[in-house]
Amino acid sequence: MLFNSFSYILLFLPAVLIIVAVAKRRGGPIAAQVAILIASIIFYAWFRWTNLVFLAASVLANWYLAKRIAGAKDETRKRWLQAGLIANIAYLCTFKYVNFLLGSLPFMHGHEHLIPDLEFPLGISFFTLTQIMYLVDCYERVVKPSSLFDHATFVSFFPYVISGPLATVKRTRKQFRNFGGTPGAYAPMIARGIYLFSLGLFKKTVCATAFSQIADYGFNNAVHRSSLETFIYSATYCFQLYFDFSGYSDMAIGTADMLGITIPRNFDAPLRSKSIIEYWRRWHVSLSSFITTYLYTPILRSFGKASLPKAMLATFLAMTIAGLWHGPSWNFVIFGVLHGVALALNSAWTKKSPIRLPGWFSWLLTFCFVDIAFIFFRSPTLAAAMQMLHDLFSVHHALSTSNLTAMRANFSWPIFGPPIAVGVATAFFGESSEQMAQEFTPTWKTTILSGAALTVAAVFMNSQISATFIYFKF
Amino acid sequence: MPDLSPDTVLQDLQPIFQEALNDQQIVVTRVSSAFNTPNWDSLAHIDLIEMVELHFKVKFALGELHEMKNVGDMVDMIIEKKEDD
Repeated sequence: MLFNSFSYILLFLPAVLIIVAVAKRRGGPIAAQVAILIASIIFYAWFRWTNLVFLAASVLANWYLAKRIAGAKDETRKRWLQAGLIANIAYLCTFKYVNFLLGSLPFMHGHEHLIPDLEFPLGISFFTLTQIMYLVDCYERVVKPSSLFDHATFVSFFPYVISGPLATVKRTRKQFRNFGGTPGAYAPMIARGIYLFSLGLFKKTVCATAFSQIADYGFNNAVHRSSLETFIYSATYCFQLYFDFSGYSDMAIGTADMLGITIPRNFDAPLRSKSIIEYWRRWHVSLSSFITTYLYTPILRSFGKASLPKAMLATFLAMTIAGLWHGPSWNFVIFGVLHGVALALNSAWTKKSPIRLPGWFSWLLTFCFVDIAFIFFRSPTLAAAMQMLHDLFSVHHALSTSNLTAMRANFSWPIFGPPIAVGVATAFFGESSEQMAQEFTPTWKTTILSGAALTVAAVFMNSQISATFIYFKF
Repeated sequence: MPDLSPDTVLQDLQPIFQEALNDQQIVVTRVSSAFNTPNWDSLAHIDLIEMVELHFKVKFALGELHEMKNVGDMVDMIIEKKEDD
């Protein structure tokens, strides 16, 4: 069940909100938490019920490991943590990389039927990272181990189980005993949740869909692409991914708000960034925060006294791992490496160079770099990405628009033109949806905006296929 | 370290920030963060944390660093840790 489906918006979500409210009123917070857990199980099983086995196995194993970590002392405690980290990474790698690695072995050519067809459990990348944070936090005594009931509710919480934002036990667990607190505090949360959900639905269903019409054509038709066209295609993919993923995140945060649970923010107008360092503070914030804290910091500390070269190396390694986390493909490795190199150079430039670039030029440089890196993220193969790069930097017919002209034959400007204009304008100017939600007060203006966003989104949902979210495949 | 209040901790943090961020003029407040403070990048952050740990004789866990979004969070965590001592 997708957030941007009628079954979720008209059936599942209202039913869950009513059942949780009734459970809270009649049976208290525990009954409400039971309702949330059951809703999360149904939501997760809706995609593929067999996935539940893999989620349940991970939840049970990590619940047990956390108890052992908390109960042990000194070296044994460390051993349990190491066992937990290895188990989680192995679990993730088994589903994400085993098929790829076995398929890459030369002696397996012609014997592909022997490679096990491992089902990729939805959300495994996210719920594994969440539980790695939990084990480390238990080891460092930041949190006490949860009961199985609390741990299962925390990990499987349906707004974020599939694609984040990544939440921590410390901030989230206690909220399952509270559910928005008093009715006076909860009511504004529900209103804000509906508002943010409607903005997110509009971003995903209307804006991302409109940008995808151009980006998909450009990436799938490699014939006679000029530099200008290639840049437009890569930029439209950048917008598509931004509206797809930030729209998803807004809907996840909005849903959690409606249930009285606050989960981390994930985007803050990243396409306005004037450096790559700033970009990663604004894009997929919960993941970049995880990378900084749980990858970069331990790597840098393991090098001894921190210095700029060591920090640059740690950044490079952390981002390469983050790239590989997206999937078993050289494209993702290159995507991570590119960002690792750019972040390292950005750090060195900030520290060592007296030259400060004009704001507009810094923004343009950052935006172009992000677009180029996304070519590797979007292209189905390394060869396709290299062809796209070749087209981007080819001087022949640099400004030709013949490919775009062909694309326009199947592109409806009256339908997709306005969402693209709205998308570009909101990506660069005015308040982001996150800021709008943070400053939200229920007024006629916000009510009309929310209603309009929902109505237009419903029209788009009704008239074309409800596309899945890009980050679901990770 | 007697009399630890949010104000005294913030006062003690000023020279540490000035040294870690290599800016003698900088004055941080509770809402200062890497987002709105020049030179506060990931390397400066590591230096900063080490200097704060040394000065206040505390140790931050990774999970605490993860939750530390601004100077106000840092001040509160330092006080909490000193009270637990």
